[in-house]
Amino acid sequence: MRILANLSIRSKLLGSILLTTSLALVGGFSFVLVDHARTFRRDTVDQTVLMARVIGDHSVGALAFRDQPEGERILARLEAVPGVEAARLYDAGGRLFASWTRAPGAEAPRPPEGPSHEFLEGRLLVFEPIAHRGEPYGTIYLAASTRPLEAKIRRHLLVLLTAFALLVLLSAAFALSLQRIISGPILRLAETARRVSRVHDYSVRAEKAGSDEIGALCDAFNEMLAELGRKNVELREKSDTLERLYTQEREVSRTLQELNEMKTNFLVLTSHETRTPLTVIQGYTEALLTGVLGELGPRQRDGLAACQRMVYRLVETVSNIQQMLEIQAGLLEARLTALDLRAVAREVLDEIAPVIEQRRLEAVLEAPEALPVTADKDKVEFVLVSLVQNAIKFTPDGGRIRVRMTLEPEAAHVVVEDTGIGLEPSEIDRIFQAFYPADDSLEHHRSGTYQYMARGPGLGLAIARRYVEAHGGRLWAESPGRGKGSRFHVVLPLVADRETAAPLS
Amino acid sequence: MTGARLQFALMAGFLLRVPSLGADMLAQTALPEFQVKAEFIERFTRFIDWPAESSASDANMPFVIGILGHSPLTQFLDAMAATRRIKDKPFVVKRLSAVEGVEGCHVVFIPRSQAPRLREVLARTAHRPILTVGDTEGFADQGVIINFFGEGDRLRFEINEAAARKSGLRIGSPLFGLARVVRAETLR
Repeated sequence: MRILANLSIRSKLLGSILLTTSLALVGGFSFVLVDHARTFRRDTVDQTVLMARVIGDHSVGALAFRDQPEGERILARLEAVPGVEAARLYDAGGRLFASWTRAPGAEAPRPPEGPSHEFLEGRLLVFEPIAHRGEPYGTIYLAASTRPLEAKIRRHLLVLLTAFALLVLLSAAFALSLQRIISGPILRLAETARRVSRVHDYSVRAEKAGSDEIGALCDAFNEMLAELGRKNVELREKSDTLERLYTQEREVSRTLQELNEMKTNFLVLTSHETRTPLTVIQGYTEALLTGVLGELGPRQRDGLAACQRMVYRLVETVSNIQQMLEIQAGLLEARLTALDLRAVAREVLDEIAPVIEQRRLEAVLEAPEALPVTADKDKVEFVLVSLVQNAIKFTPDGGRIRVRMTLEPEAAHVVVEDTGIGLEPSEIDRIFQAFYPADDSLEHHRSGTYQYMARGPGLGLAIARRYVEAHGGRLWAESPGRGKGSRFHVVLPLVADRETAAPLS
Repeated sequence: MTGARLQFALMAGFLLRVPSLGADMLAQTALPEFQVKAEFIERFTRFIDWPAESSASDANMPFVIGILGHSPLTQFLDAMAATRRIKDKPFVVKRLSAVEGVEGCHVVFIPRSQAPRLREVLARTAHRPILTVGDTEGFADQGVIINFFGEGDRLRFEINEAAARKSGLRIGSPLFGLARVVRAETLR
């Protein structure tokens, strides 16, 4: 069926026409042949019977007067009749009276009662009673070969076969030209469709040959073309609009990029320009506090100490900004050394202990005896400081901060957990973004009783994440929700793999 | 000579067997010569048509076979007349002592011994539907319609077609097929 389906319409039409024609011809010719064969056979029988009757009539005298030589003479005349092979005369008592054969042949059967004929082994056997004026004189038997009959039928078959072949050829010739009536319009339609798809010219229309099914197909095709043309115009308009929007977008993007560059330049400039004055301020502040430049009263000392704290914070902020700028410029570099993560965490907590104490917070470190990793010590320290400071910043006084460290097969897992204000799901990733605008709601929450809040989300977490990623690790936050505390996870490979490290810019 | 030999053979057959009835009678080759002739005469009547105005065609009149003078044929025909019919009616066998009676017959047999009276007989039967039958050489030439003759051990007959024509009898083709035809006439 698949093969049939893949044939061309032309072949299908040709095949259908030829098959139908052939079937009809075979049917008709078979009928004719069978009918003719029957007629021939009947004619042969009739002729042979007629001959038997004539010969029989001629033999009446011979039989009546028992003139056997005359009987044989009469039969011998059959020599001139082609096809007749043997003849016999039987008298009224059924006894053989005279016989003749063209060639020595089979024994003739006993004559039956009354007239009869039968085909037997390639011969037609005829028995005809001989009577004259109602008086029976005997029976004549004729044996005629059926070869002439068969030859005639064969000749007839040959003629029919020739006629069949000629008619099939003729109908093939007709079908070949007739099939164009159907396949022609289809091929023209297909050609039109090809032209449309090649040159995208939707103004082309299929030529309609008539109002038959193919005509309907042409109409449908033309409608489709019109629709396609319309859609194409719409599409082009939309595409133009999109292109315009894209151009605008690109301009906006360029503007934004320029703005970003300006921001960076501004940051570079300000941080750089701020550094020197801060260093000087810091130096003088320390010098003043140490009393090198003269004794200070307790109030001056307190004020100066506050100044010093703010200067430190300013230095730290500027340093963070510079660090972030470096990261964004792709200049981050990790200097790997062997270190004990637990020891680093201990140091960080110890360093930050005064603040913890001041805020009446409980800080716990849970870690195995030693947690050796190969990493950049400064950066790991920065990560831990950032996380702990962040926890302190968003945890109300009297809260609890827990640093839990576990050793996993390939990595160290650090969790910094607090009982602070927690995070909204929307904040969980945003807090790691650099220079991200401060969240008003966060600001609101921060304006409570916390002391350590002036810094905003800052750059700490963003830088920390970049650092962890520079080691091939991961840093993420999770929180059951607002007011339910938060948990920061760091997974740090035991041996930092700079190859797998995430790109830093 | 031939006749004598045939006669001897036929007589021997006659002594040995009683002739049976019917068409098969002739199948017996060893029948008496005159029995065969009687059978032949009966067969002739089958293939000869008498004109409608003849009494032979009258169903109420018997068919009459006349035998001029003495002949062994008489006894065989008599025997036949007892059981068989000619032209679908009974037939009688008349022994004619004089030629005067021939006009009342449908068939007249003229034996060899009656040769001197042949001319007289033929004068009487001429132009009448009477079948004249002889068994003497030359009779046909003289005007007898059917004349027997022997050929080997077979009995054959000749037909004088001109005489038959004059008599008004219609002789069927089976007889012509078997007979030797003398004085053939071309049909006009």
